[in-house]
Amino acid sequence: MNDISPDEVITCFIFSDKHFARTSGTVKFRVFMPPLVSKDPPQYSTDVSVCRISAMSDSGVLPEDKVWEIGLKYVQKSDRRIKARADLLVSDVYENNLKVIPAPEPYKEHANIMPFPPDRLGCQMLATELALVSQLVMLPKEI
Amino acid sequence: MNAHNIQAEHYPNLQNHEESQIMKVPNIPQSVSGPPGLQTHQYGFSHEVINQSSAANFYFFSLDKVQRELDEIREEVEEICTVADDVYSVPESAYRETLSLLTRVHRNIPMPDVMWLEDGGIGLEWRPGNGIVTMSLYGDEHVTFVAILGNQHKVAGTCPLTDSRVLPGFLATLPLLFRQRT
Repeated sequence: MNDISPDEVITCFIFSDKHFARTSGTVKFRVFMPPLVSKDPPQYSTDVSVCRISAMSDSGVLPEDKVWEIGLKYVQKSDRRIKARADLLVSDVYENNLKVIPAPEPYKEHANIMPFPPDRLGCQMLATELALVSQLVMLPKEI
Repeated sequence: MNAHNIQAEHYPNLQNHEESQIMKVPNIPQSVSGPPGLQTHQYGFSHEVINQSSAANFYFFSLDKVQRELDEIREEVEEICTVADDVYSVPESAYRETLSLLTRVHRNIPMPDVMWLEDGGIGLEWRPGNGIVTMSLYGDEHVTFVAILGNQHKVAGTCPLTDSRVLPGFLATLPLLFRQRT
């Protein structure tokens, strides 16, 4: 059973210029690849971490500055700075037979897309599907 | 039991994904047997799609530019690997294989976006019209590829770079996908 409304929007933060194309406004499939948990043979995590950016406040949508604040506070690492994010409708996740499960740690808007299969081909198929339907949002210069 | 069945048996969400697409594309075989090490999901785009192609768009990409991109990526990955513990280094063989694969791609398509992958690979991505084509190489003499064109036409597989049937067929399809966008 999916806990999150298909109308909700979720986002995945992006750390490298190579993982999006500003001119075409596209997000690369790598953004939605789950982390590798074992190198040989390659096995991937079942989850991709995302942030819920709608239906989490009284007004229904998190203000833009709050979204970036979450990313900078909880997702950004000291060695890699956030450059952009990939927004996605939850319904697009469901269409790929995946779920979005709330996981309100380390912040209340946190959730996981799951279950990804552990193999590379399966993960790349799903990551490619999600990249195709996601929307690029650049980090504003003033933040 | 072929590779297709192994995947479907272990990963029900993939099985559903495949079944729904196969129903929409009746001319595509449900599984493809092939050489050892080959995994495929639906193979081939329908003639109807390809025949919708109109005048060709002309593109060109040079291998020199690809090499420069790979050099930039090598530098970036080396830098990140010194500070990040969740990024795997990309083996030299992955860079070589990427360049070698792209020498086999028809030049009259746009240069792909080239990227490093956190799991130690090189990724390639094209966006033909409203579709997407992705490939990944990890220096293990294999390539994983996915192509999605609209809701009904999807191809995905993993095969050795020496494969003489599926990979050449997939690469030959790329220019057709770009012709279709006009």
